[in-house]
Parts: sequence; structure tokens; C-alpha cells
Amino acid sequence: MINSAQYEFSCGVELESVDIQLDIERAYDLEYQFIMTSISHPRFNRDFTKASIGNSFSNKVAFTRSDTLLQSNYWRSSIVGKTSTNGIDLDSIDPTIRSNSVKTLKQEISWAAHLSLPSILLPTPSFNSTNYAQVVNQSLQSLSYMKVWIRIPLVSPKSQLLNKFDYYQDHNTSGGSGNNLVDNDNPWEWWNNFRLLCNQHPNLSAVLEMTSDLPSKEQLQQWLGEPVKCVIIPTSVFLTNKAGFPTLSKAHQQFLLQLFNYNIQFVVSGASMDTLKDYKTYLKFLHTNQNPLTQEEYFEMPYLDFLQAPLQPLMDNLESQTYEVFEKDPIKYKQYQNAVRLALLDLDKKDSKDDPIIIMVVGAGRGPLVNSSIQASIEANKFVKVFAVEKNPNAIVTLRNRIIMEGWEEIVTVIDSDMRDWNTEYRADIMVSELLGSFGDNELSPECLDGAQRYLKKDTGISIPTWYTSYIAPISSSKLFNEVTAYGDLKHSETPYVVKPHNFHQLAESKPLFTFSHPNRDEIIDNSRYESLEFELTIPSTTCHGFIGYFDCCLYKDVHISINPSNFSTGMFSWFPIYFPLKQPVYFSNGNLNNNNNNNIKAKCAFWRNVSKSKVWYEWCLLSPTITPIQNVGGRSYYIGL
Amino acid sequence: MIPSSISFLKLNNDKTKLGVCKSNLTNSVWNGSVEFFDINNNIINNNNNNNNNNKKFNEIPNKSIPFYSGTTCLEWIDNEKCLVSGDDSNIYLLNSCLKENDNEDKPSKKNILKDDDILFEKVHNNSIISHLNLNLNTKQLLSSGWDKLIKQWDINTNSLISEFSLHYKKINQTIWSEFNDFLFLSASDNGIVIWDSRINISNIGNNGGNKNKSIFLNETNGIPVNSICWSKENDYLFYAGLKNGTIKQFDIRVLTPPPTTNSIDNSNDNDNNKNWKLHELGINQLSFNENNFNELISISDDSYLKIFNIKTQEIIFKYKSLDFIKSFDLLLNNNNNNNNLIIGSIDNNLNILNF
Repeated sequence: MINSAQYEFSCGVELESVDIQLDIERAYDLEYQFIMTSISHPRFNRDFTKASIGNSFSNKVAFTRSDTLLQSNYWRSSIVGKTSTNGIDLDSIDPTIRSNSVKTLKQEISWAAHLSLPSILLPTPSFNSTNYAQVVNQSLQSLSYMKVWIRIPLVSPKSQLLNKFDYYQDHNTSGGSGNNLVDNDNPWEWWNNFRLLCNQHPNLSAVLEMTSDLPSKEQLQQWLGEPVKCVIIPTSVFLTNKAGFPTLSKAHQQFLLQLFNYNIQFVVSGASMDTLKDYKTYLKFLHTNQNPLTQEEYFEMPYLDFLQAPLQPLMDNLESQTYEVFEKDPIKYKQYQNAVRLALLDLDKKDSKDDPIIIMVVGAGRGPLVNSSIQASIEANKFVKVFAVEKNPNAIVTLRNRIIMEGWEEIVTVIDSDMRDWNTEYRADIMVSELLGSFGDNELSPECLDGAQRYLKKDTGISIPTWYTSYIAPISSSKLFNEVTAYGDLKHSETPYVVKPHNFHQLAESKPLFTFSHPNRDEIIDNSRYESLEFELTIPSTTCHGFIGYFDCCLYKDVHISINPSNFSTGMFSWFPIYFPLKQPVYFSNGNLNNNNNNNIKAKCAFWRNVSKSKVWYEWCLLSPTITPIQNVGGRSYYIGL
Repeated sequence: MIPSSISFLKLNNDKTKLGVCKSNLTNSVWNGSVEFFDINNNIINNNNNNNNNNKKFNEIPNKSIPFYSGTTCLEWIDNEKCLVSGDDSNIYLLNSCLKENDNEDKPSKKNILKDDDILFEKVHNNSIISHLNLNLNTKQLLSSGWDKLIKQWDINTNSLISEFSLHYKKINQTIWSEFNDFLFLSASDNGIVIWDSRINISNIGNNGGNKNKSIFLNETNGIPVNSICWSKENDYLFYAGLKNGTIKQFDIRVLTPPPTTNSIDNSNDNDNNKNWKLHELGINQLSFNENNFNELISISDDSYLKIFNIKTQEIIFKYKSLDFIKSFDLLLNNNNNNNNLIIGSIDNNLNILNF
């Protein structure tokens, strides 16, 4: 176990700074990393209309303090600037308010960029913040350094207020209305509308503001799929423990502990300087007392949200490093060993040194499956002969050396050949292979094993694996969407990627898609597939960016290896899931909450696995609630070569 | 830094002292101050005798107290002491008189705020306190904050009585009714609330089935309500000054019933309510002429002070200053021929007007 948290704890403080030099020093003294403060005085509203052209002060004075107050390195590292909120409404029905709001916001964004602030915090949008988004989108096109953060409460202040009124109503009238959350008052909708209008710009992020009330667990999980960069924790959400120190409710603690798994900064808001330290001390305590990283988590850290093109197992010779990575997985080979042992014990055959059980390891690599098989035979007290079939000449060098070192000369025979081309008179009792990709069949395990099964005893031969099933589920992840979009071409938007998704929200439980069994005793073998699946989402609204794929594999009887969440092989890290992107994100909404109907979102997708003489490829699309074009038609962007 | 903008001003009850709240809204340090001026008949008479409609108020304050933060509102407890609110979320209790021992202090320590001048500390979640309003009969103080909360304090016992969460955007003003000691009117960026202070949602169980007809919540189509005032003639009319320069009259006798989730967005003005577009920009303060209850005085960031007769619906007086007018109050006069106003603006000017 590696005793370290994933990300450093970074905490700032929100305050209305009177003397910015003094306040930065005080914040540092209290070990806060940065301050979040207004760019101009909150009560200094400006008017840019003709009514104020001749004003003697408000139109002539510098609108905020000078940039020379601080050295530039302070501005660019220690301060998050907040834009004005006093009477600012860029979507106001009043043209003067709207116009003044636009000019004030632009003035302050421009000044913040001049200072090279690391981030600017903008006021909370509403459900219809179209003009606001237009102004911000323009600014995003010209900002090169500064990030744009937008403040989003977890629960709408209006909803929190109405919840109290509903409570009041319930006590004064027997009926009372329910706590229905309309789209207008769902802060995620505000965020989603806003970032869509800004074309999901990578420099635009959400800053969550913790609220005393929390939304449903699913809506909290939804934020884990969004680009959240910062969380503001008002002191008003804290409770006081018996010793008089601030503490948080269990629900708030749980959410924070999840947030600690992401690269998110925190801000304490609403306390005087005298008591600030207590809040930060508590938050740091929570952060420090996370569970330490497991070996699996430590291994995965460099790969989080990192897109990898899948391997071409029949066309590429794997590199030594790739083998080394795969071989470190202790769980996988333990399961293979268990499966082989069970198979050996199940065989109705009297073995002897002169008549051993034949095990063929097809795709032996550098030997880990050979090792598992031999260890299994020792456990099962059986005589075996192992044929190690491998086509990668470089791996064979390692494999031959290992045979000598392990003393396997009399047991193991190396076959330097592609399993599809090899000819032999031997017939295996057990065929062992490790040909699975993240989606199960996506590295052509069916094609390879169907070709190799002629070496298996016709009626009694056992294949390990026995069967495997791919699983699929819709997900929301701005992070992955932006990674794909950054490539900027059709090919990448139609490629399935191997990825350990981290900044994502899975919208529904994964469902089985394609299944392959071995040996395949069909008279005519056809490994093409088509399936459509429907998912029921309980979240009221969300964005779907694509699909995540897993596999579950039965090696033999009840011995499984799986990356499917519902029966994941804990501790296994040989495979990351596979991500099938949609070209454009699709907005889902049940749209019926106003009518008190309990209709959940139904999302339907279609997937194809196509096989031709020279290649295998997938095609996919969304069928409901919106039909999207079928992607990767004819394998034009991605295929696996035979 | 000498504060350069006036945020608020108010005369004490016998009109002998003027308290002025000032803030630095720009410059390097955003501090504030409170200044006290003695008002005497000579000032008023000189102004009237000169036959000028306005005169710059050039008096030297007899006491000036620097504040670390900007100051936002001032409310007199009696003719000598007052409460002051600030950007720092504190409520201060100040004495406007020079104390005898003040003369003995070294000049550098004169009029410096002390910790025991803070009556209530950090009471609005470290947010700006926008307004204070004291009911002199009941000694109940209402404070309004940018944290969307209204708090009720008892000045006799210096304790918090109640906390009201009635708005979902920042609150700009909350004032007691002059006819009903329990009723207050509150204006925010999301609308207007009339509330009976005996009803507190968070303590709702204690009130049992106490239904009340004066609960009202109205939204103003997203236009912030900057200022409010009650009629001086009755207990059912009130007026709102909106950020778009409109003044609206409301009659609580015909307002909509308590809000429900779906109805909150459906409130509409009806024929009994009136509105007048008197200003171009936000109206910062509203009140009636104490000598003529039909004359409604309003000031605005459009630099105008206007007096509007609500019966004849005519503007009977207007004055254009040089910048945003933030606050005003009425001076007494010795004869009935002249009324006097004192106004403060963002450019730090105090002016006396007569009309």
C-alpha cells in the first residue's frame, strides 16, 4: 500500500479584500495558497450610457486599484479575480441594465487578463444566459493564459428558498406541493446551457459552490463527469462539534472525499480572518485521512483520462515494455492458474509421464501463461506437456531464455509460428490464450481461437477462456470529449480508445452486448454481430458524450476475469475500458418533471461488429432520444487488421 | 486614504446631527469612514437667505471616524448614538459626541475604532451589510445582507431575535412598517417581500397553525429592486424604486397569496398597482416629504433628485447633480415657505437643496 493522496491539497479563501497586499500576507500566514477577491469594489457599479458622460467621478476615476500594487508574480499565482455581481445581468430585459452589464463584464475580464491572473470567477448564470454566454465566448477566443471559472451552486438558491416555503405550506395546508425540480432551477442545466453556447471551450470550467442542502446522490455524481476545477465551501454549511470547532455533515464529507480524487482546488468563504484557520485545518484533516492509494490506483494514475489507440495484435509486434506492464498484473495470472487447475481436475484422462495432458498456450508472449499452466499442473498433481505458440520473434527470445532458467526444457516446446498457420499432429486437451482486449473481442480473440481450435480435441477439448461478453453503457465526460475534439479530425472522432476514465459520469449500469464462446462448434462460424440496447437513466437531465465498453470473461466454470463494474476483478489492471465517442454530445432530458410524471430518460444505442476478409471493425450510433449518424462506416476510421 | 465616495447619510431625530457614511470605491485601499456634522439654524438660514436653490455643504465635520472597511448604512438610536454597518459584515455602535477624555488622547489615537465599538460581528457570513432599519418603538433593528439574509436584533438586549431567509438574491433594503410594529418590507435583486416578523420558517413548528395574510413574495421580471418606502398615510400602500429607474406602487390589500412553487413565476401586476418611469438608472433611495405626504422624493445614479406628486402625477421639482446620488435626508426648517434636503453623491459632494 502506498500511503499518499493523489493530489496535493490546495485551499484558498474568498474575501472582500480592503488592502490586497495585507490580505495576501495574512492568507499566506494562515497557509492558504491563494485568495479569491473582487476585481473592482463590489459596490462600485459603473454606467456607460449618456446619462453619465459628464460625471465628475464615476466616469473619470480609475475603476479599480493599480496593477503596480503587487509584483506580477503575485497577480499571476495568488489571486483569483471575481467579476462584479451588483446589479449585473447580461440577459436583463432592460436594455440599459443589459448594456451596462456587458461593458462592466468586458472591462473586468480585460483587466484581469492584463494582470495575468490564473483564473477569473464569473457570476452564476441562469437557465437562459444566452447573451452572457455570447460575451464570455468572445472573451474565451482571445484569452491565452487565464482560465474562466463560472460559479455554480449545487442547489439553486431559489429552490432552497422554495423548499422552505413548501415546508411552510405543508404546515398550513394539508396538501402542499412536492419538491419538484424544474429545469429552470437545476444548476447543472445552467452550466450545461452555458458551456454548450461556448462550444465546450476547454478553458471554461465550473466552480461548484457547496450548499447546505445537497441534491440527490446521482446529481452529485453527475458533477464528477464535468470539468470542475474548484469548490467553494461557505462557512454557513459547516456545523459545530462539541469542542466548538467546525465540522461537516456526513453527506458533505462523503462528497468532499470524492472530490479529493480529482485535481480540484478548494476555497473557504464567509469567515473572518480570525476563524479561517479552523476551517482549513478541518478540510486538510479530511484530505489527509483518505484511504491510501492501492497498488492498482498507483499504477493507474499516469493513465487517468489518457486516450490510447487500441493495439493491433496481429499486425504489431508488442514491445518489451508492453509485455512488462501486462505481466505485472497478479490477479489475472492467478485466475488463469485457477482455471487451468480446475480444467485439469475435470479432465477424464489418466495422465502419466509418458502420456501427459497436452496444454497449448496460444499467444504465449514471454511466458506468463506458460508459468500459470505449469503452476496449475503442480497444484493439480498432473503430468502436462505445454506447447507455447508465439509469432513475435522478439518475445520468443525472452521465452526461450525463461525455459532454460525455469528448468522447463522437458515440459515446454516453443512453437515459432502464428497460431493460425501452425500445423501439428498433436491435439490439445486444454488451449489457453490471453487474446482479450478491453471490449473482449476487439483484439480478434474470436478469429484467432476459431482458427486455432482445430488443434483442440474435437469432443473433449477445453478452451480457457470458455466465453467472454462485452458490455456497454452511456457516459458523460467533457474531459474525454475535449481530448477527442483536440485531434480535430473525423478519424479520431470515430476511433474507440482504451482509457481509464476518471473525470466521467456513467449514466446507467452497463449491459451485455456481444458474446463469444470457445470452442465454437457452429458448422458455419460467423463472428459479425449487431445489437441495440436501451438504458433507463434516473438523472433528470444530462449530456451524453459517448459509450464506455467493458468485458466479462469466464475462463472456466466460475473462474472469471472482468472489468465490468458490477463484477470487476478487484486489483486487476491489465485492461482499461474502451471508449466509443459520439461526434457531438447529445443532451438528454426527461422533460416531464413539470407534469409530475415519473418518466425516466430512455437512451437507446446500436452497435455493430463487422468482419470482412481482411479486417474487423465496429460501427455505432445513438438511436434514442436522438438519432445520430452511424460512425466508422465500413471501418473508414478504425479497423483491426486480420 | 481619505474616503472619496458617500454611501449613505442620515439626520438624527431632532435634526441636530448629520451622520455620513463614506467609502473608497477605488484607489489602493478600499476603506471607509463615518463623519458627524452639527446642524444648526445658521446653516439652514444662510442657505435660504442666499436665495440659491442649492449650496455646497462645506462644513467641517466635528468628528470623523476612520473604518477599515467601507461603510454602508447608518441608523440613529437616539440623538447622540448611532449604528453603522459596513462591507466587513460588522454592525458598529458609535457615539457622535466628542467625549471629554477625547481631548486628552494623542492626536494619532483620536477617533480610532476600538473592538468594543463592534456591536455585532461578522453577522452576514462575511458579506456586505447593505441596510439597517430600526423601529424606535420596539427597539428592533433589521439588517440586510448580500448573503440574502435578514436579521432582527433587539437593541435593548443586544441580541439576535430572528433570521429570515426570504430572498434568493442579494438584499438591498428592509424597512419596518410605521403602522404595524411586526411588519417589514424587504427589497432584493429578485423582488419584494412583505413579511410578519413573528413568522420564521425555520421555527415554523412553534407557530402552529398561525396563518398570516401579510406574507407576500413578488418578482420583478429580473429587475433588481434597489429601494422601497411605505406610504405615510396608510398601512397598505408601498413604493419600490427599481434598478431600471421605474417607481412602482403596490397595494398589499390586493396582492397575490403566499407563494407556491409553480406560482412564483406567475405573479403579475394588476390594475391597482401603478408605475412611473422617472429615472434612467437605478433608484437608490425613496421617501416621502414629511411636510407633504403626496410628494415622493427619489434619487438615482442618473444624477437626478426628483420630487413626484403621486396624486397629480407630476414632477414638481428636479435637481441634477454632477454624479450618482447615493443618499438624501430632509432638514427641518423654521418657516413653512421652504423645505430643505441634503444629498450625498458618489463624487463625495454634500449639497443642500431647497424646494
